[in-house]
Amino acid sequence: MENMQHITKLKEIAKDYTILFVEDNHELRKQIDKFLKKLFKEVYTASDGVEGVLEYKKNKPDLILTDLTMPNLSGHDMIRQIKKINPDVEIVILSAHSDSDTLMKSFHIGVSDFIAKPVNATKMIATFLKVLSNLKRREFQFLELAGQDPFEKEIVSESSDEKDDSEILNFIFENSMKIDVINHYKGVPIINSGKIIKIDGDDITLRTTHFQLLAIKEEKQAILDSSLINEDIRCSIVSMNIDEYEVVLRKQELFHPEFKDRNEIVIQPDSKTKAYVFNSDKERFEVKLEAISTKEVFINAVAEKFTYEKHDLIDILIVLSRDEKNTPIDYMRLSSRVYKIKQNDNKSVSVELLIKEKDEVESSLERYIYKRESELIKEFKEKFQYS
Amino acid sequence: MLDIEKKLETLPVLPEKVNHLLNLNHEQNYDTKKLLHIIQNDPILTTRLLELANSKYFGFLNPIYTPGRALSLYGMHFTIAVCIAELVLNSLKFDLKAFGISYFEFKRISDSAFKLLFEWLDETQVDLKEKLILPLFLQYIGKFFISEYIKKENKQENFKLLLENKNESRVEKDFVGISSSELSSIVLKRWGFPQQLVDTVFYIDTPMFLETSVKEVAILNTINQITKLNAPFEVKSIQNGLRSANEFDLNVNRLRDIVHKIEEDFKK
Repeated sequence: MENMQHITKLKEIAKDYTILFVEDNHELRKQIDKFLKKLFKEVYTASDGVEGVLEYKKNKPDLILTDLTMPNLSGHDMIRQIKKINPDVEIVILSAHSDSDTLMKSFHIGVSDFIAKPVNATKMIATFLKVLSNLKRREFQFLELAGQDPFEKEIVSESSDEKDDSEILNFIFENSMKIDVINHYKGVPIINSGKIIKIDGDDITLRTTHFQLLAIKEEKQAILDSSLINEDIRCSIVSMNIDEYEVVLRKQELFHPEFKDRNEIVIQPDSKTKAYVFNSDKERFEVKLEAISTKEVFINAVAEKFTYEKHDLIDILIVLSRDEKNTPIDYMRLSSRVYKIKQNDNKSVSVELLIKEKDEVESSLERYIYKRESELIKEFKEKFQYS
Repeated sequence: MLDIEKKLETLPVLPEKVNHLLNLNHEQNYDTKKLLHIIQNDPILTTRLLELANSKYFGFLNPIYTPGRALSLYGMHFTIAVCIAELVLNSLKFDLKAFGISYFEFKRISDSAFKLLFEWLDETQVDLKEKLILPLFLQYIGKFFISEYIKKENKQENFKLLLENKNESRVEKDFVGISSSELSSIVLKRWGFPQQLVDTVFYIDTPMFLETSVKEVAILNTINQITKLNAPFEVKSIQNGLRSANEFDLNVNRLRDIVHKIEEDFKK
C-alpha cells in the first residue's frame, strides 16, 4: 500500500502549509481545488497570472501550483513577478507543454517541479511530497541554525497504520478521481474509466460508459483498478441502471493484477482453429486449443495421449484456416515447453505451454491475435451493443 | 421538453484515454509511440482502426494486419480523431430508433459522410479534413438523447412523419426544444472538449451565424444535407446539399462529381 502511505504522509505534512493554485480552466480549477482542500491548511485560487500575483501578495502562500498558458499574464511572467517578491517560494508548474524548451525556461526562472497534464493523482501526490519535504527540511535547518529544537514543531506521526482499500476508494470518491473498470470477453480485455458516485459498505455505485456496462452485464462482475492501489478489486454485480450509466458493484476480493499489457492478452480461438501436438516428425495427435497469447498456449488433451511432463519440449502445430479441400493454408508450428499440467479427470489434462523461439513466430502470432481480437470485439458489439 | 440539465448530470464517464488523445493532438512533438501504446492496449480501438484500414472506403491496396501499420499510413491526427470518435460513440447508449435508423444504417451513412468529406476536400486541405473528422462524427450524439426522449414520450410516429417533410433540426427543436447539433455541443462542452470543436458542432445547422470558420462549418452542413439520416443520397437531399455548397461558395463542381461516385457505392 505504498500509495496510501504517500497520501497519509502528504496529508500530515501538507496540513501545515498553504497553497495558491492558478489555472484558467474553470472545470480543472474546481476539480483540483477540491483535491487540494483535502490536503492543505488553506487553498487560494486564481484564474490568471494577474490574479495570481494579487493573491500571492495578499496571502503569501508557502507553495504555488500554476498553469503556464493563461490569459492576461502567462504563468512564466507571473512566476518572474512573484520570485521578485520572494525568491524562495516553491513553485510547481502544471502544463500540457512538456517540451524541453518550456521545461528549461521554467527551471531557469526558479520552478521547483513540473506536473504534466492530464493531471494524474499519483504524480501530483509524489511531486507535492517531494517539494513539501524539501520545504520542511529547509525549515528544520533554519530552526537548528537559530538554536531551536526542530522536533518541538515536528508533528509528523510515525504510525504506519495499515490502511485498507476502503480508505483509498473513499479518497478516490471524495476527489472525483477516475478509476479503471476492467472486464473480459472471451479473453479480450474491455477497459474504460468509471467514477465512484456512492460507497455504502461493500457496495460501490459507479458511473461508466455504456460499452463497459454491457461487458459488466455479460460477465456479471467487474475488476476495479487504480494507480493508487497495488491490488485490483474484483466485484460482483448487484444492480444496473443502464439509462443513467450506473452500476452497483459489491466488493468480493483483492488480488494482484495478472496483466495490464497487451503481450499478456490471452484470447480464445474460434472453433475452426485446430491444434496438434507432434510425437515425432511424422506422428501427431489433435488437442483442443483453449487459449493463446504471444507467450503461451493453453491446450486440453486426452490424458492417455499426452505423456509429457513439466519442462519437456514439444512442438505444436496450430492450423488457423483451411481451403475447401481441407488443406491447411494458414498455420504456425510453435516450439514450446510444458509449464503446467493439470489433471482434469481420468480422461483429460489441461496444459499450459510456454512458447520458445518466439522471434520466428512473433509476427504470425501477433497478427493472429490482432485478427482474433477484432473478431471477438465485432462479435461482442453485434451480440450486445447493436441488438 | 427534454430536461437537458438532468441529462448532463447523468452523462457517462468518458474514458481517460480521450484526454490522453486530445493532449497528444495538441503536442508539438508527435509522439506516435505513446499513441500506438494507447491503441494496442485497447482492443476496441485496434479493431476500429484495422476495420477502417481494410474497408472499401478507406482501405489500402494490401491488407493491414497491425495498428502500427495503419497508424503509419493514416498519420497521427487522422488516427487520433478516429479513436476519439470511437471512444465517445461507445460511451453512449446508441439509439436512433425515433429517426428510423438502425446501428448498421447509421454506420453506413456516417462512413459515407466521412468518405464524402475526404474525397471532396483535395490534397491541399489535409489539415482541414483532419480537423473536421471529429465534429462530423460527434455531431450525432445529441440525436441519441432526442431519440430516447421521443420514444419515452411515445411520439415516434408523429416525429418520423414530420422528419420526412421538414427540416430535421426544426423538427427536433419543435419536439424537444433544441436541435441535435446544439445538444451534442452542450454535451461535448460538459465533457471538456476544446471550445473550437464545441462551436463547430453547435453551428453545423446554422454556419451563417458564425463570425469565423464559416466555410469550414458549411462543409459539414453540406455533407449533412446530402447524407441526411432518413434520406441519404436521395435526389432532394443532394439538391439541398449542392444548394448549400453554392450559397457558401464551396467547390460545387467537385462535390457533384464526388457525390455521384459515392452515391453509386452507397446504393449498391
